[in-house]
Amino acid sequence: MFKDITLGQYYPSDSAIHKLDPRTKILTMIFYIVAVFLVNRIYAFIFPAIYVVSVMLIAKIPLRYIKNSIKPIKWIIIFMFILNLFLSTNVENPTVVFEWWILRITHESIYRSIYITLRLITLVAGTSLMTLTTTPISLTDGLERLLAPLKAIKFPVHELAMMMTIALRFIPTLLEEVDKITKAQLARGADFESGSIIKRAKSMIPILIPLFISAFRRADELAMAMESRCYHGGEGRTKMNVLKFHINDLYAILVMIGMCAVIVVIQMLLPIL
Amino acid sequence: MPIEVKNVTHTYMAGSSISVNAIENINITINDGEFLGIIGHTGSGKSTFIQHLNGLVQPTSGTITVDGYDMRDKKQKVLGRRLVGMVLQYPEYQLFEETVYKDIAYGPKNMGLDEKAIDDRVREAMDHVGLEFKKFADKSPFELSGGEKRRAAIAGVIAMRPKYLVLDEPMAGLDPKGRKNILNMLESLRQATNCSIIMVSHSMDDVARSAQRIMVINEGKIAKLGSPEDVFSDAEGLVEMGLDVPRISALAIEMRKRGIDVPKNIFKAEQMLEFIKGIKAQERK
Ligand SMILES: Nc1ncnc2c1ncn2[C@@H]1O[C@H](COP(=O)(O)OP(=O)(O)OP(=O)(O)O)[C@@H](O)[C@H]1O
Ligand SMILES: [Mg+2]
Repeated sequence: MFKDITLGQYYPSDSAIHKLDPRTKILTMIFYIVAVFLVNRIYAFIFPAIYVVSVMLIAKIPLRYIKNSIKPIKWIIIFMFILNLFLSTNVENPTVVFEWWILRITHESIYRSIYITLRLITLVAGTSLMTLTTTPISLTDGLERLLAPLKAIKFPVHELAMMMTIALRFIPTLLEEVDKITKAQLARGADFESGSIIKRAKSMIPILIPLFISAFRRADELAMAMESRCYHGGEGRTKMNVLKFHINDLYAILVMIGMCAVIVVIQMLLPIL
Repeated sequence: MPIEVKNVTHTYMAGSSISVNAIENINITINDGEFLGIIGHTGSGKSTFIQHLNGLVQPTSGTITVDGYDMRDKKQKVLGRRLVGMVLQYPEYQLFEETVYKDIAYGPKNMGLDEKAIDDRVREAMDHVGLEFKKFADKSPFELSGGEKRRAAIAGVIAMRPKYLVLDEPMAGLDPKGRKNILNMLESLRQATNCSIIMVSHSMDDVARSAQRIMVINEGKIAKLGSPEDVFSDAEGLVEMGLDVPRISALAIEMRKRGIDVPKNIFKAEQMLEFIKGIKAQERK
């Protein structure tokens, strides 16, 4: 029942995008989000769209992965679309298209619904580019380096990154464990599906207790293993793969800044739609 | 009535690019009261196969019936599952209650038995696995040693009085004495209750000692199925499949290499002893 959960759907491939420095990818993603929020005319969504498609092509990722990344939030998108259809807009004398009881759809609200939907889709599709092309490990590595200046104010950057790495590493293990324990209890006649909500919640106890116990045991063992290999936090620790900026990283950032500029300028020159 | 497995194939993540054919076209009838040993090397599909026997895993194609209950049917599966006790690999992970008693009672309680019947079954199960009632009933399962935990977990399944008891490597990770205890326990349980035992094991010696019939799985298919004599008579073939053979069979292979013509059906220590005595007697003449 937990098999369909995929996390950090990394798509392995050998491309220029995959090889970018994770710091670049985090920064370009931030710029990308800014760019999407700069868009205030529907037609201008074409720029983020072109960007996403071209990155996918360069990264050699099949385009259907865009669809996959949007699938999990399908219901949120539909909900937002419908909600915005019926919410009133603060325009004076809107053009009413449909009215019944307190529900009213106007030209403006349709426009806004489409606008919000496109914004959500481009946001999710664009940010999923990062998880598609970067392994979780190099992502936390990049994050650690980006946040490094915070060490000056005693913020535990290294510890945070290490915790993230370990958590990511153990998600599949825990899912496997859940599967195993569930099977063992099913074999002892457990019933997770019938009865009232309280009964069903109670029926999870035989899964949760062994799960927590094994998670704590694992944590304990891992801590012991790390300590016995002389782990003592980030101080004086060197990296096996030292992150380096290349010329491509510069190009990537320039492209992003360029896109933000284009969006701003074009919308000023062409204030239609 | 037996468990009948017909043309069962199971594919993990079917339809995706990383689909794995874990087992392919398995056919076997498991009889009442028999001791079936299942061997095969890591990843050959043993665990996948046995999880089909009580409907924890559904076949991609093929059918399984337990005493006539079709395990693909949701309602019949519940009834069939009561007949098949399943002890998964490292079963101590299933312990969750405050006391050993309560944990063993979990299965019988799910079957809807009354207090008295549950108590009987818990006592009986603890007796079978050799956990003294007075000493262990009120202990927390988490205070037990590894071997005791294993026995408590097995007791939790035995307490449901299954007609077929399926065990996935019940001796993994135990010391020789612990292994022997479990094996003896299974054998006496089978004699006392007349249940069938289906046991997956990596230890050829254990299987050779207890099983009446052996199923060898190789790359998801049944490579051999027959009595221990049949299966171990081709010890060289098993070695080719990357499997271990009983220590005596390994010895026999070495002896054959050195020109001593050891009969194919020897795989137990007593048989080998007899054979060597025979040679010695001949030499003396
Ligand atoms: N949940 C799963 N998802 C995907 N593939 C799986 C899953 N479980 C097992 N497999 C694959 O199916 C094949 C058979 O696995 P199985 O666990 O049945 O082997 P096994 O014979 O029990 O091995 P072992 O002796 O190591 O326990 C293996 O190739 C394994 O990688
Ligand atoms: Mg297995």
